[in-house]
Amino acid sequence: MPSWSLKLSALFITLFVLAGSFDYARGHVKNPGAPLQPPVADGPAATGSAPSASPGPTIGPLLTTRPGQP
Amino acid sequence: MDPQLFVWIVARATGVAAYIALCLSILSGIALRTSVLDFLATNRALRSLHDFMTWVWIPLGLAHAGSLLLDRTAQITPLDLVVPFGVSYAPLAIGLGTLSLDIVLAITVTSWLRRRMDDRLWRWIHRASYVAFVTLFLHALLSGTDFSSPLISSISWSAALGIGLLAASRIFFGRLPE
Repeated sequence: MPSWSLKLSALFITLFVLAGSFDYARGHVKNPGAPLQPPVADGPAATGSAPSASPGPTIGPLLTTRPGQP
Repeated sequence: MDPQLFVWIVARATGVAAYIALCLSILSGIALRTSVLDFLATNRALRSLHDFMTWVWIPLGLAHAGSLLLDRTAQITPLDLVVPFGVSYAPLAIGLGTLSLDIVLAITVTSWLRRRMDDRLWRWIHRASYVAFVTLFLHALLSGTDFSSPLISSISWSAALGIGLLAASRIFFGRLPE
């Protein structure tokens, strides 16, 4: 096999792996099987998943009734 | 696409691709000293491939490291790219990657300066490529986000197996004469 053919093949393999990995990573933004699970710096942008619900202030009813009143 | 998300994806993709490029470089280097791949190409062609792959893995390796520098979740500083085991999160897993990069860079630079170096010293530094590969593989195994993927895992293990087999053939069947 000539030298240029070897180089071209190796380059093609590497670029193919690069493109395939990029496509795979884009489709699997969050990998639950990853060995490292660092705390995410930003919410949904870094992980691509919805942020978990956190307790916050709730809005009470507009009308309140006193005991004994309808 | 969010910039941080893009950086994250680039880090993963370039990590895998840099691994493959380095594997091809190491494979072609070992093949020079065994007769196992004589059917594929002459030593001259393999040597040419070996030198060429340096220019393939360098940009990929730098892109992998550079994107992790930009990734706010990874929290890696420029110093962590050269000094291993200094990160606060997963120092061993990430430090192995730094160590591998350091060794490979040393091998690359000394190869460029080979004519000005003592030949024995150059050979011993070059033999560290085996250490570099082992640390790189462990880095991928311990911190690679996509290593659990069957396809990527099989490719990675296959490459490692190929390098192991070639290295073993060199050890047991000896070197080719110069």
